[in-house]
Amino acid sequence: MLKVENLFFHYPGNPDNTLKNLSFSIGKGEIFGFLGPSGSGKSTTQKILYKLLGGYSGKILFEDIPLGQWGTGFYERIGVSFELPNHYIKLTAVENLRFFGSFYRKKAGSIADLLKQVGLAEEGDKPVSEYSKGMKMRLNFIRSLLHDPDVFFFDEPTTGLDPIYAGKIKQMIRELKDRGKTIFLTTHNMFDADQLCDRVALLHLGEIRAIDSPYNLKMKYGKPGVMVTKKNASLETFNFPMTGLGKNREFLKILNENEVVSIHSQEATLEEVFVKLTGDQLV
Amino acid sequence: MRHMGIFLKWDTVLLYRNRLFHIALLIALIYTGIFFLLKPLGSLTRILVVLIFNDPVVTGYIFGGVIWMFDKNQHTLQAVSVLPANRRHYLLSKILILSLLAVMVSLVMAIATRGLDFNVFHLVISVFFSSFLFSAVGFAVAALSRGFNEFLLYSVPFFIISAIPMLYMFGIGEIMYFIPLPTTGCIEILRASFTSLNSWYLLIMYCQMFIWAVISWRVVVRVTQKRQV
Ligand SMILES: Nc1ncnc2c1ncn2[C@@H]1O[C@H](COP(=O)(O)OP(=O)(O)OP(=O)(O)O)[C@@H](O)[C@H]1O
Ligand SMILES: [Mg+2]
Repeated sequence: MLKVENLFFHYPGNPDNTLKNLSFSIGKGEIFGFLGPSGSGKSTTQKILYKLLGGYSGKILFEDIPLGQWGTGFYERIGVSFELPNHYIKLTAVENLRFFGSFYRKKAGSIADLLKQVGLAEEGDKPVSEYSKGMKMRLNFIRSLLHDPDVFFFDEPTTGLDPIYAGKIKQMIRELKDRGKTIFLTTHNMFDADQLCDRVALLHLGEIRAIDSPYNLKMKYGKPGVMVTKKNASLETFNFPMTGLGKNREFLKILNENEVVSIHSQEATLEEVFVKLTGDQLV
Repeated sequence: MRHMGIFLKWDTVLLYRNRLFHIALLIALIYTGIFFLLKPLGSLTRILVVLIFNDPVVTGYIFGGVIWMFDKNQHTLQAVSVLPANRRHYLLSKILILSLLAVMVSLVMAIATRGLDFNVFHLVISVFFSSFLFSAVGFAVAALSRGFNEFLLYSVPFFIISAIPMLYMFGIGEIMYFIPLPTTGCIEILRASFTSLNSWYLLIMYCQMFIWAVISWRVVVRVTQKRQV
């Protein structure tokens, strides 16, 4: 569906490359994620792919046709949910959706229906200036669904949302996948990446350090372990690797001391994978 | 064309919601008031030309810039950029709406001061193009400015240049020295709506005005396309 080869990019006025030799492809019906800390180049990559930024070098193909050859018809095919709210604040949510929606040939569900799905049914006739950040982000998200496109770009779609709505958005993303849609999302939240993505690319300082399914990445780089907290004078925490736990003397000693407060098994996380590959934290 | 219609419709709504419509009418009332205050001083036609011309220049520039900055600050420029719409339509719609607003305001001013004793055609065309020119300039300068203060600062040379051709109306210099200036055509045609001028002369002024409208359009398209994000 989407293929990127040897993509380099630098912002005008900054000679250093913001994106360094990115290559990846996204298959039809796949949820592909960019996981990386702030400033790693996630949004920049997406902006290039939906043609907001030009002047890159490298090859980008959308359905085997170079991006540059696509006209405005390209935008009938894609839906974009930006990382920052961008609506006409003097218009109501319904008016915003009507305005943006009227440019497309194809219409998805009704506006009322979309608003209802993200809990904005009651606030549809309020001007967006009276919306909270989270409400604006939900509006951003449903605006990308207006014309029922084939490919979605979601730039940190759950940022600024409470857990309930973040969950709701994630569920809607999964439903899109079930309907055969292709999704490219960015996040710095390892749980989101883990739960949603078929494959993730770990992005660090404009470079892809690994691409694989979350499961494979964790198997390959992660180390599951056990965290034990014991109490003598104060609380003390110890970490042990899962492998060879039954023969780990230190571990067995603590167990026998009868001072254990809690034991938690710790799965390998994408965070761990990221730290291992880059020496940096995700957030 | 369908997209152009959508832009025009919503730009009108936004003009109203952002209170720019109200401000424009208020300015018309103030200018009309100034006209009646200056009435005892003599040469009414020239004062009227100065006042009516000043409105599309100032409001075109300021409103153009303000609208651009609204869109930039709300990040709606980005959102519009990923629509299957032509960016020129987006710009043209805003410039047309501001020009029509200026025409409306100028008619209010002219009728309040002259009744129906003026050439409507010349007035409408001249004001339309003055506003077209200056809202285009306003958009372009706003796109190049880092903030509203910088934008206001840059307005000074533009306003001065726009006013220079008035010297001719007050009897200073030869017309050929003024012809290259962007607003000479606009001002002379506006003058023609209150006094009669030679047809050949007017034809030249009309051509001059169209040429500057085209130039300003080219400039604003270039400048703003580079600054979409
Ligand atoms: N318009 C711009 N001009 C110059 N540099 C920019 C611009 N936008 C972003 N950058 C720089 O490019 C780099 C990548 O930014 P980008 O916004 O792509 O990061 P990101 O991964 O999306 O981060 P976040 O998680 O904070 O959204 C950063 O170093 C940033 O400072
Ligand atoms: Mg970002």
